[in-house]
Formats: sequence, structure tokens, C-alpha cells
Amino acid sequence: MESLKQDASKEVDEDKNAEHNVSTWSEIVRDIVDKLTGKDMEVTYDFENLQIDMPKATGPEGKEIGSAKWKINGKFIISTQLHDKSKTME
Amino acid sequence: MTEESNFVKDDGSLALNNLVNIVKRSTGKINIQLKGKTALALKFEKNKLSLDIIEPTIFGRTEQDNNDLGLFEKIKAAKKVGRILNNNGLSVTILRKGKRAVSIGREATPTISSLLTGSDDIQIDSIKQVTKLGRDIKKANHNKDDA
Repeated sequence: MESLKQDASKEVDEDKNAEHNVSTWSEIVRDIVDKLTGKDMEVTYDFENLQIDMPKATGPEGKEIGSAKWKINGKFIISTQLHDKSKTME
Repeated sequence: MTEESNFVKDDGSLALNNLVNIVKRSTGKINIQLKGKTALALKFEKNKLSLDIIEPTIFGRTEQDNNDLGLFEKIKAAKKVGRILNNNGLSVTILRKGKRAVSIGREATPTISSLLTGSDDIQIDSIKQVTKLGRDIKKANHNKDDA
């Protein structure tokens, strides 16, 4: 009985750790995306024959949304500038 | 409740599952450049994704914000991610400047590295490259602090 209790508590701890780990990784991904779209930054995304086969999905009110094949070639550049608001306010 | 339904329960896992399904249906390349220099190169090959970290400064802020975790700790933290990738039949290979460092997911065949990572879904291809990657990121942070 005691060992069963211990096993159950170990399992709960592992689940908690696993959820914490996933959220840590979500935070890392979020930070990278944040960095890639950050301030005072120029980021170039260069797509080389990227093909995405979008699956069928069920939309609002159970409406079926058809599948699609996306093909992306070329570059786009995102530039962001940081403005000092305090200077423009004067 | 099964383990699988636990995966779906939290937002991080759900988002990761959706992302994995899109990646699995993709082929081609994306190069991400910062200030004109390639920082990240992604190669999609249906069930395989290669992520080549060429310019580690891209991870600079992330490491700084989570500096309580070392790189090996982060790899250990990828345990559940590895399981989700494996369950969905996807392999992710992380390279440092073109050289394999870590493999996560379906194609990971862990040997002694499972002792370090605590997972059968994560394979350290090169301890040397993982260590160098950690050092690169730390250096990038250091330079950022000095700036």
C-alpha cells in the first residue's frame, strides 16, 4: 500500500516536471520568435522551395476546410526601429 | 487518464503537436539572417527537420533569461518534447555550424547519452559540439552584456 502511494506521488511529480519542462521550451520558442521580430533588428527570411501540405481541418460550426498546398520561394525582410518616445514628446 | 491525453491537456503540448503535424508535411529550406548573416538554417524533409545554429547570438537572450538552466539541463528538459516528436514520427537534428550536435525524436538511437538526458528520445551526437554550442551561447551573452 505504502509503495503504491509512493508510486502515485512519483508519477504526479514527474507529470508536474514534464509540464514545467514543456512550458520552459515554449518560453524558449517564444523568446526566439520575440527576438526574430524584436526591436532595432533586421531579419531576412529566405525561403528555398518551401512546400507545406496543409491538412484538411474542421472550422467553426463543424465546417470542413479543404486541404491546400503552399509553395513559398523568395525573401522577405522585416526591419524594426526603436524610437525614443521621450525625445518626441518634448 | 492516459499519458497521451495529458499531452493534449496543456497548451504547450497542443501547440507542439500542431506544429509537428505541419512540419511533417513540409519540404524545403528557410534561412534566417540577422544583420545580413545567416543565423539559422532550417531544412524540412517531411519526417526530418534539421536546425543548423550558425550564429548562436540568436539564442543569447533566451539563455540569459533562463540562466538557472545549463545546456545539458535544457536537453534534459526536452525529454517530453522528444516523446511528442517520437510519437508523431518526426526527428529533429540540431547542428552547430553544420556539425550534428543533438538528435531528438524518432531517429534518436541513444546509447550512453540516455544517461545524460534521461530519455530514449534524445541522442547526443557529439558532446564536443553540444559543449561548444553552450560556450558559443554564453560568449554571445557575455558580448551582449559588455555592449
